[in-house]
Amino acid sequence: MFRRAFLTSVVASILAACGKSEQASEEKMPSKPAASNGGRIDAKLAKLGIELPEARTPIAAYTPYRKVGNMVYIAGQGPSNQGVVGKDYTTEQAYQLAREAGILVLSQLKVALDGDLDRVVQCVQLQGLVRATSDYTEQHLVINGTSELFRDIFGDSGLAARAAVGTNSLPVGFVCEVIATFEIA
Amino acid sequence: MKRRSFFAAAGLSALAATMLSGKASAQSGGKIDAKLAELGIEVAPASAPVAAYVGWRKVGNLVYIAGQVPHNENGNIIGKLGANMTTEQGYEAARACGISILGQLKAALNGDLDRVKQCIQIQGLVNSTDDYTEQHLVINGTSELFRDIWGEAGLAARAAVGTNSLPLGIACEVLAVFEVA
Repeated sequence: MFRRAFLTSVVASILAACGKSEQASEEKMPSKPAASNGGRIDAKLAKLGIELPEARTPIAAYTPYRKVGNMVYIAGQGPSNQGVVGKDYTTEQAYQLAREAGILVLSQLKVALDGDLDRVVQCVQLQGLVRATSDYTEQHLVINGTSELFRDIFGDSGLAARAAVGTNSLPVGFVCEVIATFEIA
Repeated sequence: MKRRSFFAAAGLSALAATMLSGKASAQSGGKIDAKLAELGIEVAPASAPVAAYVGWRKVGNLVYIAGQVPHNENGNIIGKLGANMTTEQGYEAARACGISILGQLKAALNGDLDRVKQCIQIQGLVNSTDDYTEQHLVINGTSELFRDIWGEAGLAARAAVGTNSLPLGIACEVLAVFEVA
């Protein structure tokens, strides 16, 4: 019985993450909307026409970010689209989804930094998982969607020691998932 | 059209990564360089990234190395374990990734590999069929290389995992984090 309730809540959270149900996330602590502090990076985002969405609530038992000293670890972020690159999505389409994943990372980062993205020193590590067919070989070009977004925003310090890899499956059927670590001031 | 030229450029830089590029890391003539010479290992200069990233990042006393592509004298090592490569061949590919990591690490440390205190973390991704189960033996190719060089300090808190596909069709990809002095 307890287990069934747990599973129901997990499924509800997953649906919420897919944007199909808003009310299901009530048991999660809502993340506060990222405050705009009118800083240098906020100006850059505005110039690029990027509006950061509200940081997502986790879809399972984890926290969206952790801070340790001058490092911020962001949990895996992926846009809601479902499918497989090399079958349902082209490299160019998946590039756009990886860019969206990067925007979701920034939303979490902004919450972690109390709204002040100017505190970012550099992106240290980026791991990009691309749900792909077994013969797909352009994962690195897909994850450029995240990397080039970060470079546009933070300059060369937005580029990370990176790994782009394929996988045959991801939670909720996501097309891609991006994990990032930042050094902050 | 603009996007197409972008992808063409990205493809070209992928090709370029199979060639040696960048300036040669200075030889520090240190203890680890002597060990490498003893093992007959020649560390090529760090290869250029194949996409929008950097080869390494330093934060305090940690050096993060980007996922490295395995290559030998014939170019990138392409293949899938369980389909067209044996575990032994995969081991050699993982060893090649390890040598590429040494090239990046050397660049990060201005040529002085003696500054390495320990290998903290290794993640090894192995391009595998669904029923292949020896990823850990493949990634030993990296781990045993590092142990040969640094002794027990070269062994990392490690994860070896399978994946159905990797960039450029490479057999494996290895990323690492080191503590340095």
